[in-house]
Amino acid sequence: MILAIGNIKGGVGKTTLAVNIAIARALQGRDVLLVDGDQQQTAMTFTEIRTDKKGNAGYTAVSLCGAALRTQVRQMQPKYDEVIIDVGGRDTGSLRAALTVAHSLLIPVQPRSFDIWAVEQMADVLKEAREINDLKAFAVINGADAQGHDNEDAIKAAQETEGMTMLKIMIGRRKAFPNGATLGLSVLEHIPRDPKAVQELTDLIDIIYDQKVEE
Amino acid sequence: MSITKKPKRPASDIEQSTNDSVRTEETKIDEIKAEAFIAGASESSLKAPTAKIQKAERLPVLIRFDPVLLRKVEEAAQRRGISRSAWIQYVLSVALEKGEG
Repeated sequence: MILAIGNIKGGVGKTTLAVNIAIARALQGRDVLLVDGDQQQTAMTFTEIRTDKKGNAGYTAVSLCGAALRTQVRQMQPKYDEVIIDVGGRDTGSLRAALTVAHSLLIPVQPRSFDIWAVEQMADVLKEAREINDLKAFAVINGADAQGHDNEDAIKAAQETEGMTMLKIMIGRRKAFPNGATLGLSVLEHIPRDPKAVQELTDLIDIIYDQKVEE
Repeated sequence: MSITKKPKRPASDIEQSTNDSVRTEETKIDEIKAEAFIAGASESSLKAPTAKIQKAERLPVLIRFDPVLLRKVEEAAQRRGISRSAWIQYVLSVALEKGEG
């Protein structure tokens, strides 16, 4: 399966989710290709840190951009169990190329008004992409607040956007994610273990990979 | 902080599936559509210069390899799913970034 993790809005935690999902799937014994389609190449930097620390990232990472992302991913896909593409931050050729090849798109959304507005713009691009590739799309609140109504309000607002499934599960704003990332680790590996972060990530992966249906 | 909904915009919904396994006329049209869709990105300024620089700066180099080493290179490139040339360039870039040379 090819999973794209993207949003036309930056700073929503795409790369954090992409590397965490890639590691989680690799730990489950899957042969994973992580494609960094973001010009900042944060996923590649993370992978370098991880490789230095552990000797082996546990997955293969490549950096691709623009139309080449479409052609290269299609060529490489049969050689891997799974492909995870980290793209976006803006409406780029890389993001669009990913949408033409992905089976599913995961859109991380922060519980803020600007992010909710961007979801609608993302839905427009997605609609255009579906003329070429009929991909599934999920949106998930990432960096959910520990308290207050903004999480629920954001879910309600985003649920009204057509063409994507707004997940009820959320990824909380938990220090385990950035702390692990600094060390080249996923929240599944980071010590001290944050059980809530682990559970949220596991639930998200189960839903995306059709191992669990959200009620 | 509260969440404010963005005003709605009307739009149509068109769906169409593709078949990548057979190179039919339909898939050729889909390829053209895909290229047009990718080129339609609002931030497309990065693509053209990148392609131009790559084409202009890439030079062919003849390197003689020991056959055993070359086979290992080919196997490593195959495992990554990239071309031999791309693999060599990737490994060299990593080595240079780490301070080699």
